[in-house]
Amino acid sequence: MIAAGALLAATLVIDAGSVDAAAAATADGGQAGGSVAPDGGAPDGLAGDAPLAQPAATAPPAPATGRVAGRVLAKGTRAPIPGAALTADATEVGDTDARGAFAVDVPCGHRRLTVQAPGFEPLTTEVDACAAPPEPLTLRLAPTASGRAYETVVRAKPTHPEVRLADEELTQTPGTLGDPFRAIESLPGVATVAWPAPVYAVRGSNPGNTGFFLDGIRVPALFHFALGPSVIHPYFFEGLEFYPGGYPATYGRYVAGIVAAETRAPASDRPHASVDVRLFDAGAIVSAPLPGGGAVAVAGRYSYTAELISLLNQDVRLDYWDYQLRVDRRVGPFQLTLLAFGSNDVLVPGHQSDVVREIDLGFHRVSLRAILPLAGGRLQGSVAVGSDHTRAPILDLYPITIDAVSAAPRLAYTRWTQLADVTVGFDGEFARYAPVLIGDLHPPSDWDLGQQRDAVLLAGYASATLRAIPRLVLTPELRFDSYEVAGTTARDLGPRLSARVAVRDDLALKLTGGRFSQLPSLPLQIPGVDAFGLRLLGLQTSWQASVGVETTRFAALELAVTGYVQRYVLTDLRNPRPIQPDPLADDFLVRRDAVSYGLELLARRPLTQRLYGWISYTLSDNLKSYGGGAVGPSDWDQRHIFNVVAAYRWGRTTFGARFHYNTGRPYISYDTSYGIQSEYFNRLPAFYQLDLRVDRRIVYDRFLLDVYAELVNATLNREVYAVDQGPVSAYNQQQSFRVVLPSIGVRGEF
Amino acid sequence: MISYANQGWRPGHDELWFEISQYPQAIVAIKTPGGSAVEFQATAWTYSDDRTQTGWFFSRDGAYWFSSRAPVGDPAIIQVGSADDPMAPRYDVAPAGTSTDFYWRLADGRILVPAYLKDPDRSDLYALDPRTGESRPLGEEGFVMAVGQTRVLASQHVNDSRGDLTAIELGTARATVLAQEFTTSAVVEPVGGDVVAPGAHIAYQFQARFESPWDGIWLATVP
Repeated sequence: MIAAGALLAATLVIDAGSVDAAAAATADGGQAGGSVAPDGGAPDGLAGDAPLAQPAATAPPAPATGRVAGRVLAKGTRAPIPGAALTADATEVGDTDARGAFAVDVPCGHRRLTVQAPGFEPLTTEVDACAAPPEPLTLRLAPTASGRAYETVVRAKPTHPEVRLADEELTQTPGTLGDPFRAIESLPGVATVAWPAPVYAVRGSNPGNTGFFLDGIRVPALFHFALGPSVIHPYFFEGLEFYPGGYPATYGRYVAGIVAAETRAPASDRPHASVDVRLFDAGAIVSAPLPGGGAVAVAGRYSYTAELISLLNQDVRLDYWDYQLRVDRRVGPFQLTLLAFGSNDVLVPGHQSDVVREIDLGFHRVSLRAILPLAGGRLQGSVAVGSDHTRAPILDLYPITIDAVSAAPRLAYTRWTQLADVTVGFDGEFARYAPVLIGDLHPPSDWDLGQQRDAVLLAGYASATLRAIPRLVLTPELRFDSYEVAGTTARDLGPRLSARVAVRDDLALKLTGGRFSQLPSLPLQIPGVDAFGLRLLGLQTSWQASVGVETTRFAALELAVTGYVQRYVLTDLRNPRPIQPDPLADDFLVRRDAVSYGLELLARRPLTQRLYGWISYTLSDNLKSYGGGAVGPSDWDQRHIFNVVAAYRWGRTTFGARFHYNTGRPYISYDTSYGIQSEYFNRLPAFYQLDLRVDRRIVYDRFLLDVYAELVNATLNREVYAVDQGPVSAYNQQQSFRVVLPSIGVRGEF
Repeated sequence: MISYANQGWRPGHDELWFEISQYPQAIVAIKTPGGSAVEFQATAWTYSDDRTQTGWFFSRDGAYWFSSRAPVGDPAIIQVGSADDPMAPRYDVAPAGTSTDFYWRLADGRILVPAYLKDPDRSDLYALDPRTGESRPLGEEGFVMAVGQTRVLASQHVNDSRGDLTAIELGTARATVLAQEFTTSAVVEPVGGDVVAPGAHIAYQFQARFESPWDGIWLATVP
């Protein structure tokens, strides 16, 4: 008996490699998996060696129980698993604490110790608690292969019309090349202007009417040039919320939608690193705890697309880079977060010395945020400072350089009670724009795009989410915006109301309405080209309303149908078919009325399912005034937009696919047969694409390896983005491309 | 190599002006009957006060003359100066970098100068006093339709041959838009000797970019 105990003590030192193999086998086979080793590792050669026999005559009497201690960690990530249940021969003996540690009493003798935790494969090992020496165990649980563990976050059902994406939806959605911001192109209400360019028009507005925020900071550019990746490393994201309209009062200064992304807090338990290498770039994110508390994460990415393009054409020079930094630390009662991110792109499309045609876009943002518990609520303040640099040619003649510096303070106080959540806040943006133009070719005028100017944007808002009536959640909000640009002031009061009525437990109605405002903007957003034209054009505004139904009554399916109407006053190109656009001319932009109405459907199967994804469909009609009493479809109008995004987990392999279809957007044809040119609308051909993706996760004891391959537009479909018109229609020439975007990558996470 | 590029009698005066072009310099010589020639470095430049562009380097009354301060062979930078005192300061008629092909003499002695970057139909309009060089912007990105005693009728912000039909008061530079964006042509009813008299009728054609119920010929009044 005692000899047997000693034997067990020795055999507890299991060869890690053999357990890995077993874990991998069990992972795919659905049996128990994981590994076990004493802390500090086993002496080489001990595993499988002959047991050290103890002289029976000198052994003390065996106690009834013995103590077994150790830690339970996630295999691969080494994250501690709190609350894991331990049983010895089917008898519950305890569970792990917050650090994943345990110390349980187990009856002496040869026992089967099993540890189980939600989202992980159970792990069983044999122990004899009374055998010597009692070394602490490290038990590594393999994540379940049939459905991953998700932290249950209790969130009130939002009254605002939002879609939240997180986890694999951000980084593994087929067709996105792993970029979270691209995931919105498969959501309802979003038209991709000209795939594969990541430029999105939301609910009939211009792309420049939708704002992108990262932790509340406006992001001036989302993607690098030439189909480059997002300027933010994908694993820096925690989640992303998309509001196609009716966004909360905490956001403002955009008349269409908002995409609000949050960064992930760096892990404070121990150092982590993630390195990914793809066909066209390589990136890394490293996080580590700070001495004295808190943690830091640094990410960056380097693309070798530039070298590839430069190799193919030595006259073209393309460079880009980006960086991100987040530091979290508690100082006294304050939870502080420092966030810095930036990006730079340089493209010289002609000869290397062609400084006139050089395009150079860059920005930097540094933000410090403090959160303070106060009077039963939370006070949150932040200030973000930034700089933007844009250099671009105008008319291929001369360059304009715009340097901008800005400071954006935010302050909000939120208090939660049983009946209401109340938030009051303030946000502002102070910016100075300093354009440098080679050649002062236009006379001084009220058009200030090419002039040095200051902008002071201030807003105050109040929001209350009321739950006084059962089954009704009502959120009235009020936002007051003040805009001052180059000495011209405009103000706008934006009342908003959103409501959610739970008709039944699995069926709810959602209503939203409100007014929104924005400074004049270019149809497409360019860093540094902001805050201009207020004197000539006034504010852009919108009135928005939507009614929706949400239900969960169908098994594992969240279904939402929303009808909406949005009326806009937008700034738009005066000439929708400019031959030589001149942004410095005071008639470059003009105010236009526009209206968008439609129906959006989203059927979503959550990530917790083996088969997950969503189906989205948008039926819309987007109209715009073209002046002179003429009305036509808006530039980005696509009547039908249909997406199916699906992923299926099979063991540790995930197969994903996305099908996209959109009807063609309008283009302008002209006829000069009868003297002055008359123009009319035609439509580009419809476009559909199929994107495929496969991800394979390999779990090692101390790190994870993800291998993935993606094929965007796998069927090589042709996207027509314009039609060049000849003297007669027979000579019309479609401008198009067929491109398949492959991506193969390996990501290691330590 | 010496060549005689421009020459002519100054209107109303017994003066023969001729230009001796000697690359890269040019010299203007003024000869009066019985007198010796006065020479100075300048490039005389033809600048027309009518749209036939068969103009001259003198104003029609001979009070002013036009020259270019750009080096010979470069695009002209037209200047206007007093013909009575050729050595007096001369003033640029249009902003640097722009081109101008012709001008109008205004009743108040100024000249109306359209200046454009690339497209003459998208000219900015300036009223320039040739005596002082003071230039005042009157209109933007368009062309002149008619010049009256006190008002100019212009199409502004012209895109694809259509623009804002605008009446501009010469004295105050106040502009009144009579029809937005899509006026293709206009005819003003002459009143007395004034071709853009206050209260005169204007018939204009309106054709929007896309088919519109507003397309047609409309009538307005000069403010």
